[in-house]
Amino acid sequence: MDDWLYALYCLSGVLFFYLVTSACLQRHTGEVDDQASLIPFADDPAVARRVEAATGKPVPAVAPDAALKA
Amino acid sequence: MSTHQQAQAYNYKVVRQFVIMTVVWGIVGMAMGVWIASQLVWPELNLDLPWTSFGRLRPLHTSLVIFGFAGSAQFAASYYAVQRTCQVRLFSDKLAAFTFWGWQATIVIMLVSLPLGLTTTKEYAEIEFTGAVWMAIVWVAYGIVFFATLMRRKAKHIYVGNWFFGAFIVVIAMLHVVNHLSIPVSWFKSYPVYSGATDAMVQWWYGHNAVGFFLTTGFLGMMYYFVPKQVGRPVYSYRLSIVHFWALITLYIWAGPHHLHYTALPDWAQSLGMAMSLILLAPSWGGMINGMMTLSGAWHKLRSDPILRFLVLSLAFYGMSTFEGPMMAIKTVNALSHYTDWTIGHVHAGALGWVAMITFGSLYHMIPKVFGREQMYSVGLINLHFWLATIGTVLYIASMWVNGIAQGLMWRATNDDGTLTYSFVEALVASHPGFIVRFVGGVCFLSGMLLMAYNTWRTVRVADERLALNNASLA
Repeated sequence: MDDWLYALYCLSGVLFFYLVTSACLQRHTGEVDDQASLIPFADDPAVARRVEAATGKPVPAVAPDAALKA
Repeated sequence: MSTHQQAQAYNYKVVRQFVIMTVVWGIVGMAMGVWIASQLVWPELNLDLPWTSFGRLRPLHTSLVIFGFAGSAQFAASYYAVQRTCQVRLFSDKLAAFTFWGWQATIVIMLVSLPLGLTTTKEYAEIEFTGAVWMAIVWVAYGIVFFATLMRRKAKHIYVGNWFFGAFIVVIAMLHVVNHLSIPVSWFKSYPVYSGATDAMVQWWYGHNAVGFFLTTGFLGMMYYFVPKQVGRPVYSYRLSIVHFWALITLYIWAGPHHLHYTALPDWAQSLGMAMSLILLAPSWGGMINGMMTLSGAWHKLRSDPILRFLVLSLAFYGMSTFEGPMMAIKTVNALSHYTDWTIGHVHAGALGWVAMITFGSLYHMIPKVFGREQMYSVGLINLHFWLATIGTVLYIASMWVNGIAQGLMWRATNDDGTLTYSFVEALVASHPGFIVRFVGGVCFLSGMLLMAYNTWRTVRVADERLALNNASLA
């Protein structure tokens, strides 16, 4: 393979990674990250209370029609 | 649909089915592994029958543990986690049921066709034409169920675990279709559309990404859901998990050529595969550290929680095998390790240590919830399983390291006149003690799996239907 083409090939991979990661992290404030990371506990009130107590962060509320007893 | 079913928020039926079949295929697949390990110690155990020869049972073992055990585990975990993180029921009960029965049919096709010698001969893709087409149909249905559920989510954000599950589904579909492109001459005989070095490259592009996406990405999805849940803490760094995801997706797909060092493959492709494999260490360890650090402030839970021990040890083995892999991809190291038992040991560090252990931890977490129990029948048995699995894995890996390095050194040793110092048979004889230790390790691991089956059966047998319904019903 031509050396320049090879370099371009590798560079496109790095560029893809940079652009896509930047796009995903855009508008990701610390608060958004905190809320997203607490999603697994949102449908489990008992566990959610324990997580809130342990981390001091409020677990995001579940929409009323999907509030679960689990 | 009954009133009870209408009231259910989550479809746990399909999760329960996949959970049970994970255990079943785990036992069958691992027993097959122990059998072929014993054939290498006592060759007469091939029974002098073509159907039970090593060459036919080995692909059956890999197919059963990869697609039967690991595949069913990922169906179960992804269906469970996507419902709970999106707070909606699976898209279609009927289509979800189809994926269960369709996937089991695929495994049965493997179970019947591979011992009969019907094989594409492509590693991890041995299932012949009709089976491969059927597998693709089931996989598309799986994708529809998963992504349609994701689209109906109540939460605004898509939890990172679902990103990993989604990538696993999309990439496996692509790999499976491209690698299986072939011209059929009968229902179970076909010829690939590729030939020569191209065929080899496509196969190992598939083969390495079968490890990268079937045995890693989906299980990282499991890790990002079940580790925080079991620890009771959110993932250490959500930002890191996003960087981890994109770095893994960007890099993994290029690493395949390291399986073809010193072959007819163009040298630039080999070097690219080596470089990408080395860079891959960074996201792999980023993910491992993210999982481990989720235990910050909760390490004490390891003292009393064997489920958490399974999950944490799986991460340790993930870290170990994702360090070993890039090292083995370096061409000079590969010159020693390739074609030896070191490779088999490396694969099993990932398969037993990472894939199976995170599956055990996740199943022990899920089973009581989907079957309506407070906890598993016996926590003591989980603990015993943990130690059997750990000892089994260590025996397996250590014996294969010793064997692999011995084989590599003996094969390359030359006398002053340039002739080989050792014959192949001499290296084989030197490997025999390692084969015995590997067999013992396999028996330990399988015994743990049998304990899990007993523990699951005792838990399921007295399942509380009301509690299970309650776990899955709307308030």
